[in-house]
Amino acid sequence: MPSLYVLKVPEFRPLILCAERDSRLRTTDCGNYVRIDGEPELAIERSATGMGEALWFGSLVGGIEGSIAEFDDRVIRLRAHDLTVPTAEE
Amino acid sequence: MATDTSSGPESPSLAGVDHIAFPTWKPVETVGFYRDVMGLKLIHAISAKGWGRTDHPDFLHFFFDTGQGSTIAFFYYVGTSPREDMAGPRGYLGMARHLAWSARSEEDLLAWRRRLEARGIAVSEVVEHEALKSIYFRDPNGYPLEITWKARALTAADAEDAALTIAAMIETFGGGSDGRSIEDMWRRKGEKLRAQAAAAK
Repeated sequence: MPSLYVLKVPEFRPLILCAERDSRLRTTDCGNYVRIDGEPELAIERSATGMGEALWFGSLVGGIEGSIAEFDDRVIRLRAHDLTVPTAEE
Repeated sequence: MATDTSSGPESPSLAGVDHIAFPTWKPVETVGFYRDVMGLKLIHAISAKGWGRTDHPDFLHFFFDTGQGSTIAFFYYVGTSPREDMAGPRGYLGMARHLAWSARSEEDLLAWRRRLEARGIAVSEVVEHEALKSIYFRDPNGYPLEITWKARALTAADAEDAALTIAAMIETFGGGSDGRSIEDMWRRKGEKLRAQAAAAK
């Protein structure tokens, strides 16, 4: 199960609010952080957060569990680290 | 290996920036920019016949007030050839080494942007960073400058978070990057937080 740690500071609050509104995500208080879990994947759209690009591209600074499947100016998508995408040879 | 000695009996503290100094081969344009465009007060100028050494050029050294007791200063070495590379490369590497001043308020930051733009200076939009909002521009020498407004004060949580990031950075990149990525560092930090949470239970 992929997770994203978000430091509890005002500028990253939109990520936490977005996760709280999203039934596919779960939030857990962890001291200075809120941990966002997703099953089987964790996806957050930038448009749902209202975050500017400079801030958005620092969204994973709190730490992650899992792998980055997609992270561009539109979406963050994390998946479990042991889930491998089959290659063309397989 | 890196060892934090930021506190302890032999750890004197610094009291802010006194001055930052750059060479210039455009002394007239430099005065025009800092005194007339930015409106900073010229508060000190010295000039010297070398420094008694034959290989040291005659020079002027002049200072503009940048607030809170700090100044920006320039050396003009008379008769020397311009060094275009002093401003550094274009692009992100050239901007990486830069000077950032504080604006007193968000309104002042916007006022600075309007002032620079009205006087024909190419200035960025306001960029929102983690705890800052900033504008970026260059002086006539090509030196990259920033004016920034702190949207909030940094807290103990920020410092604790920074310590974890830097610990993860040292563990990930300490021996060179060697194919490791920022994703590996974020994952290392995630492991540390998971361990911290388990220990707290």
